Amino acid sequence: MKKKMRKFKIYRYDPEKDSKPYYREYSVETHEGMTLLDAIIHISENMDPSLSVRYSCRMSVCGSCGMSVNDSLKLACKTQLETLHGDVLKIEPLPSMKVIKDLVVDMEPFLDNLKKVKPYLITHTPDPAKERLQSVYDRELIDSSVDCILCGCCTTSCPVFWTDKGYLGPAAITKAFRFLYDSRDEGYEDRLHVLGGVGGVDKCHHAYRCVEACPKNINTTYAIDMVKKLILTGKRDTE
Amino acid sequence: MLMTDIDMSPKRYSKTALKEPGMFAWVMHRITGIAILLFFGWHVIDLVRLAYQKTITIADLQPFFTGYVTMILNGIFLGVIVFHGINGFRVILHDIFPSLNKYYKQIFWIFMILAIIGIVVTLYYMILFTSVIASS
Repeated sequence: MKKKMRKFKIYRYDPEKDSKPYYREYSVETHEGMTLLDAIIHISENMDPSLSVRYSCRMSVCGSCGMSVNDSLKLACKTQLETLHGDVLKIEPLPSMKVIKDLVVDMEPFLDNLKKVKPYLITHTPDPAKERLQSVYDRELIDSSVDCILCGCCTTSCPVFWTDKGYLGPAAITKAFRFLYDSRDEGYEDRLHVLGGVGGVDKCHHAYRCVEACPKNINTTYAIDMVKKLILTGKRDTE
Repeated sequence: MLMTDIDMSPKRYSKTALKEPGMFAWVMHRITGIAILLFFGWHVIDLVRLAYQKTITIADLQPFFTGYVTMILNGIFLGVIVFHGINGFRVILHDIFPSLNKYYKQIFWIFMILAIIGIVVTLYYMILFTSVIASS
């Protein structure tokens, strides 16, 4: 197996101890197939136990390990080290969020915005005897947005969110799109005042940073524009 | 290795992000918007100033068209307006047809080429117009 020494310049900051954030460099022997998260876990377990990082599933499902790598946002568990270029890899927490410690950020503003759009199926009609059916075509309409794992890479890369934490952000709006365009959902009225109100879809100005950042390749701007269209016309564009 | 004074503000990210077409357009749209606002403010003040003059001759207006400094400023301002207008159309296009979002990079470059063509054509007529005024 091909092995190579690589340098990692990692953002370090413990608000309880450090007056300012700083970077610390680590050299790790990497091998073929190694992910960025593997390297960070190796550093944390063998070189510097004080390094904090949030992770869980290690297979790009939980969305915990979103971070900035060489100034672009990625999921550490999904990023193969071979795909990263440069002598030194600069690892930082998600931008514009409050740092709890090192690579761990406070996701509260992100999650608060998500709660606002009611990210669950809303129905007002009585439950059918068996189940709420959905055709293959109807499922395809929301196909890409279902993949969202709420890692926060899109929202924290958005320049509008950087300056206004009241903006729902691409992740919350994509989640809203996933339910608004779900043929079984009846929660349009319940979500309208949030999506069409202050900090709603109109705050998206097509910088496309969210599309570039999404580790699941979801076209979040498409979802936002579809919600804009739904609010404007009052009906789902299912063509 | 220890380093201090690290800037974690989004500003640093925006510098890197400027390499991306969408972010470049987003930043430039705001800068050109402010430039247009300032220019029109100046333009209105200038018009008011001229209105208080008893008579306005073509000689009063000639420096606005024939002076090198004003010509350069007009050229820059033309570029600012054309970029702002064309980019505005691009954003509206994405709003109306969300499915075009997957081609946003290609659409960005098409609109930028259109902007350059627009600037070149208008500059040509501006120079032509200026030379006519200068020779009259």
